[in-house]
Amino acid sequence: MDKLIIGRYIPGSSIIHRLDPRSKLLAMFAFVFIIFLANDAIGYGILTIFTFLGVGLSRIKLSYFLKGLRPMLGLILFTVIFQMLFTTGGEVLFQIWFLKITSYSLQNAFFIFMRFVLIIFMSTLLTLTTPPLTLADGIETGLAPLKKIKVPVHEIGLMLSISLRFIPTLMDDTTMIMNAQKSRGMDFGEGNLVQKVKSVIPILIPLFVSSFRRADDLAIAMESRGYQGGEGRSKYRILKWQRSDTLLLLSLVIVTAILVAWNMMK
Amino acid sequence: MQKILEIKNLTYQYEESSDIYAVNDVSFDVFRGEWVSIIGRNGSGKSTTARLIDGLMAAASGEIIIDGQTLTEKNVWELRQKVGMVFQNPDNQFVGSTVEDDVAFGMENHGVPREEMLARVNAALERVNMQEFKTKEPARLSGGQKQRVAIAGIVALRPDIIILDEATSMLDPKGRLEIIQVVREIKEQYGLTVISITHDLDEASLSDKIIVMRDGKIEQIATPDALFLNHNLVDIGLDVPFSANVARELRQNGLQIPEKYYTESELADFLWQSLLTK
Amino acid sequence: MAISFDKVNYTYQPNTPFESRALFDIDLDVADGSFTALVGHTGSGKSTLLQHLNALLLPTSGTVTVGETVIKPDSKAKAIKPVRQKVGVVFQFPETQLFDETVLKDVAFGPQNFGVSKEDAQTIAREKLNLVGISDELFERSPFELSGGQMRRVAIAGILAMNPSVLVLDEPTAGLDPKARIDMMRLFETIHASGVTTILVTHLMDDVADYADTMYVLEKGRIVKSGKPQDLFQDVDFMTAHQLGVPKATRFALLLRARGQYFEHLPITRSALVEMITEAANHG
Repeated sequence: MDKLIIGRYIPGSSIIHRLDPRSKLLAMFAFVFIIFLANDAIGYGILTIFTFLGVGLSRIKLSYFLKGLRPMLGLILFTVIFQMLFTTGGEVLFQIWFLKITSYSLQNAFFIFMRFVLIIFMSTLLTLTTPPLTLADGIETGLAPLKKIKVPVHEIGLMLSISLRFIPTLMDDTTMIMNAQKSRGMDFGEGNLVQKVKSVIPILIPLFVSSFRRADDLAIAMESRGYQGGEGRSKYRILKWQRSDTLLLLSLVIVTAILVAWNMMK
Repeated sequence: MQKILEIKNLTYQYEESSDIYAVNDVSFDVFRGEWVSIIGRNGSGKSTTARLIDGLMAAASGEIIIDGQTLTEKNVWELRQKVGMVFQNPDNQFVGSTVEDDVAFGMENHGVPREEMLARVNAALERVNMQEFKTKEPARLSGGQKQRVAIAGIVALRPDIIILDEATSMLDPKGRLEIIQVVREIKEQYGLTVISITHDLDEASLSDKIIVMRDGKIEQIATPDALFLNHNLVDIGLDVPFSANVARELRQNGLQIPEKYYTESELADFLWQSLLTK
Repeated sequence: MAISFDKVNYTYQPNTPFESRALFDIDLDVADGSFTALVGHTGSGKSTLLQHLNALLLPTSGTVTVGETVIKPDSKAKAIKPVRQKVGVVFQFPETQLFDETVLKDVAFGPQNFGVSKEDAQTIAREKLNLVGISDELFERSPFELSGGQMRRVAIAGILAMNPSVLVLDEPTAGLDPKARIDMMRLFETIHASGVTTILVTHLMDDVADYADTMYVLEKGRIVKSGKPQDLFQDVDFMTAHQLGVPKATRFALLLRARGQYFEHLPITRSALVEMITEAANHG
């Protein structure tokens, strides 16, 4: 069970791996907005080059990125087909009954498809190159300024890191409980819907009980080790912002500028 | 010797209106540098007593005096710094995502500057022989290894008292011996006082004194040697030492063996010298 | 009921980057009515082997025969289910399996999964609960209201209620206080005496010496030694080299041997030791 890679992080030492999680998170966030600046082939072309630059620099095989598309494939296909059939404008290329495919709708569908692919590729790039704990660190440190408006940044960060730490433990618990119940004759995944739902109870209840017990024990242990919330705490892990991080943000600004300029020139 | 812990007439009920006292008028003293074991069957109140000492629960009545200061709601966080506690379940006290993060956790809570944390984490991990596991996640550690990390976390904070709350009862025999060994070493090195809540004979036999609890009360306080002559050790939550059982049964068979407690090697010596070579 | 393993191999997640071989050519025979001990470190493959006993895992190659049922790599769920009832497995810290509203209902859960009617299941449940020492007034309580020791006994009753022909125990006394440990082993001795084949997975050599008639030592996925505890414990060097330890009686006898006492066979139980010493003392 400890072989499962959460978020499918693939260890490596590429430039992308070594970037500060904060810059990666910011870049990811910004990208989602920037992508709406593109509205023609050139615009999407620029963004596609930018994305594949990132993919290449990560030195991770393309197959992993393609696998990242799989869970979303249904949604993508649905949206694309919807766009193809129901957007109006431009000359009609094809028609069955009341369903029309126009040059405009085809183009639109393609752009939407690209939008999905690029965003998914970028977020996959983030999770493939950043260990979950580092990501959590990045979120906590990045959100730090929000402390000023009373956002419980430290608590959120600690919740994230404790949850991550316990995922393998809870998965082991689940396996153990399932084994125990199977050994008592429990069948899983059989019967009608009602039976299937019922078969979850002998797993869920013991899991809840043991998880609450763990949480209780942990809280007592934390208290005995002097935990009193975020006030006055120091940090063992630190994140170092480096030149490459500034370069990343700069490159995003440049891409934005290019797109804006291109749009204005048309 | 100086008293580092004084417990006076401590009581605790699980529910306020209840008649059932988990801890019922318990009093005892612990001297600096002592190794004290508290034994008893499950439900005798020993774990509750340990948690009361660390201020994790509030006593209904009585006093807890740690290094001369009486424990109150106001000074509990300060006094707690003198006490380090290792709990029974190795997983449920491991907070950090990796070994070094967990050792640092206590220090982070006390605002220790990062430079110092780095040094103390390394030193503590070396002390418990877990240096090579520094970046490992808890899912990859055995129970004994996790408990060693817990001890490292305590060592990094240098308390005066270390309380082991059945810290070895979920470990396999090998893990148990590891932990006992580590605690012995750090006690020696840092002059710690050890309070060990246990069922384990090896742990108990290292004590200077053993406090026996039953139904929330202290039944007796004795040295290991004196206690191990008791025939009803199992009744009070401890294994009977093998040598004591052997000696007793040999006496039942008519062999002349003095009524005192022998360790295994002492008994072997006695038997060889007195009874087997004639 | 007898169980045998014939050249059983097991690989986790075969044909993936996470592939890992856990069992290598395991040949094992648990005789009907025997009390067999399975000994080995964490990582020795104990837990994998255990899961083959009631077909939670199917061998990657080789066969496991439970009574008349043969379990193969391609065995179907229907063929396997009866095995789960015939071989009752009590996992470590079994109290974590409790889930139902009342103690009685939880214990009745197992038999009902094998077609026993609710009334009959509850009758068996009552019987087994009494057997493990849980009194009637606790039957309608929630299992979560009980003490840790009581919860464990309820969980064990839950397995006994299936009336298995083989009882598998994985470190059943882990975490219990000394008295509870003794009571629990006595319970298993009683159950074994009634004809139930018993398999004990343990670290405690004294339990092996006191209860088992056969012993298998597992290391890195292979059986490295098997036979009667009486015989295996004579080879102290082997046990020490594999970090397994010997029963206390044997260890004590070694102390005497080191001082010059002759032992034809090293004793493995306290009573044998006491007898030998008494004999030696009386006959000079």
